[in-house]
Amino acid sequence: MSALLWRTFTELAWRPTGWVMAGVFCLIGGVAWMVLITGYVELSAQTVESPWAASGLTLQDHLLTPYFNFLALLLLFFGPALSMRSFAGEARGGTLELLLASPLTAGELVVAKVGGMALFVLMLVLLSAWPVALLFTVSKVDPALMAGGLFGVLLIGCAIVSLGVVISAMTRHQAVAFVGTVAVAFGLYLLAGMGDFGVPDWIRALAPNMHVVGLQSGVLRLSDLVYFAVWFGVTAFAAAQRLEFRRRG
Amino acid sequence: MSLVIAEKLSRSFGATEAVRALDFSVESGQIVGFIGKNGAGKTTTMRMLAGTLHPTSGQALIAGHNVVSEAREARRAVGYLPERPPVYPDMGVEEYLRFVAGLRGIRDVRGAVARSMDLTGLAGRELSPVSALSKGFLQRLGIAQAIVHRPRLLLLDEPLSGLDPGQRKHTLEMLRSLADDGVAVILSTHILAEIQALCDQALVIERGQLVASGGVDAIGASRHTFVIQLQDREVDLSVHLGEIEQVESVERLSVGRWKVRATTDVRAICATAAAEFGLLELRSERDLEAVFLEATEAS
Repeated sequence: MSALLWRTFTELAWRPTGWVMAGVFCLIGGVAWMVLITGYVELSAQTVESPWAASGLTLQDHLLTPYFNFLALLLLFFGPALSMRSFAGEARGGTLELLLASPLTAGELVVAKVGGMALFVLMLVLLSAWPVALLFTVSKVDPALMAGGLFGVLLIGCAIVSLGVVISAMTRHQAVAFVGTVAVAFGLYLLAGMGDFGVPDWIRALAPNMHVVGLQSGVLRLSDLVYFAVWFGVTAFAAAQRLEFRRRG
Repeated sequence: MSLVIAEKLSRSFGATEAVRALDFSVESGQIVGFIGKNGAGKTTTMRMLAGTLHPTSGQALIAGHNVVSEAREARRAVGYLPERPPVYPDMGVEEYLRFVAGLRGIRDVRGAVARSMDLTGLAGRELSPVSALSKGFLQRLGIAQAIVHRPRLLLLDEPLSGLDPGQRKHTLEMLRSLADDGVAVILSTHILAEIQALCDQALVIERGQLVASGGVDAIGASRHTFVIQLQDREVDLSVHLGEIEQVESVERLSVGRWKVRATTDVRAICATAAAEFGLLELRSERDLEAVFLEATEAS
C-alpha cells in the first residue's frame, strides 16, 4: 500500500505540474497575505486617531483567521485539481487494471490514494505557512492559534481530496471529476453561511468549514474530530464500493 | 490439484452473456492458448481470472483460492498483462517496475526488478522513460510487470501483438522457460501458428462458450484436411474422390491443386486414387487455424 501512496505523492510533488500547482497556490496565498497585512496596517494607523478601536484589532481576527479561511477556500479548487486524476486518470490510462489485479483491497487502494494526496496537501499547507511563521517571530501570537489554524486548513484540504477521490472513481473523465468535486465541495461550503436563510443548524453542520472554527481559536473539539473522522470514513467507503462496483460491473 | 479450475464460469453485462458456463482446468507448467474471434469472451475470462472482474455465476479457483471470496490470495498467484500494457508514461522503466514490485508487496524489490528485466530483455533500459519506448518494448515492459512477483499463473492478453519477429521469438522462448520452471501460462493471441508451436493445450471460445478444448495436436486430429497436387491439370478429382465414403468435400484451389476434407484419415486411400493422375504432393493441413475456423463457424 505504501508503494501506491508514495507513487501518488511523487506523481504530484516530483513532476512539473505539481510544482506549478504548488507555486500558484503559494503565490495566491502570498498575495492574499499582503492584502491582509496592508488592511491591518491601515486599521492600525486609524487606531492612532481612535484609540478606542484598538481593542478590537487583533492579529487573530484580522490576519490569521482570514488567511486560514482564504487558504481553505483556495483548496476548494486545488483539492479537486489534485484528486481528479486519481481513479479517473487510472481508468483512462488503462492502469486501473494494474491496481485492481494487485493483492490490495479496494479500501486499501483508496486509502493509499487519499494518503498520497494528503501528503501533498500537507506540503502545500507548510509551504504557505511562512507568513504565519514570520508573524510568530515578531509578535506574541499564541502558537496554538497558528497550529490549530494550519491543522484546520489541512483537514479541509484532505476532506476535499477524499471527496474528489469518490467522484473520480465514478467517472473516466477528469474534467467531470473536477467540476463535480468543486460543485459538491462548494455547495457544502456555502451551507455554513446559510443561517440567515433559515437553514437549520444540523444541515449547516454538514459544512466542513463549520468544523475548523474551534481549531482557529486554538480549541480542539471532539465533535469536530468526529465530523472529520466520519467524513473520511464515509468517503473512503463510498470510493471503495465504487471500485468494487467496477469489478461487479 | 489443478492450478486453475474454472467451473461454470459465466459473466453477463446486462442482457448480454459475454461468457457462458466455461469449464476448464490448467496444470502448473502448462501453456494454454486461448483462441477466439474478437468479442468471443477471451478478455472477459482473463479479467475474471485476474480478479479485475467478478463472475456473475460459477467460480474460478487459482492455486486453490476462489478469485472472489479469497481474492487477495488468488491475486497474489497471478501475473496479468491486459491487452493494453498498464504503464505510466511519466515513469522510467526501472521506476515503474519498482512501483509494481512494491504494489505486489515484494521485499527484495531490487532483485525482482533485475530478474524481470533480464528475462524480458529490458536490461540496459533502466532509465528509459516509458513514454519513449517503442510498442515492442512497451509490450515487454507489460510482461515484465506481470512476472516481477514470480506468479504461479501468468495471464497474457495478446502478448505478441506489436512485436517484431525477433522479439516474438524471444517472448515465446521466455514463456517456454517460465513454463519449464512450473509457471502456468494462459495466453490469447490471433497468431494461431504460434499457439500451435508453443501451447500444450488450446481452448477455442466462441460467443462466450467453449467450442473445442484439449491438446493442440488432439484438436487438430479431430479434423482431416489435406491438399493434393496433381501433374494432370485437367482431371476433376472431386469425381474420383467423392465416391470415398469418409470424404466430406473436395475443393479446387487452383489448377491441379485440390483441398480434401474427410472425417477420418483417408490420405492413403486418396493417394492411391490420385496416383494415376500423377500425384506430385499430398500435404496434411490439420492445423489449428482450420480447426478454429471450422469450430467457430459450426457454432
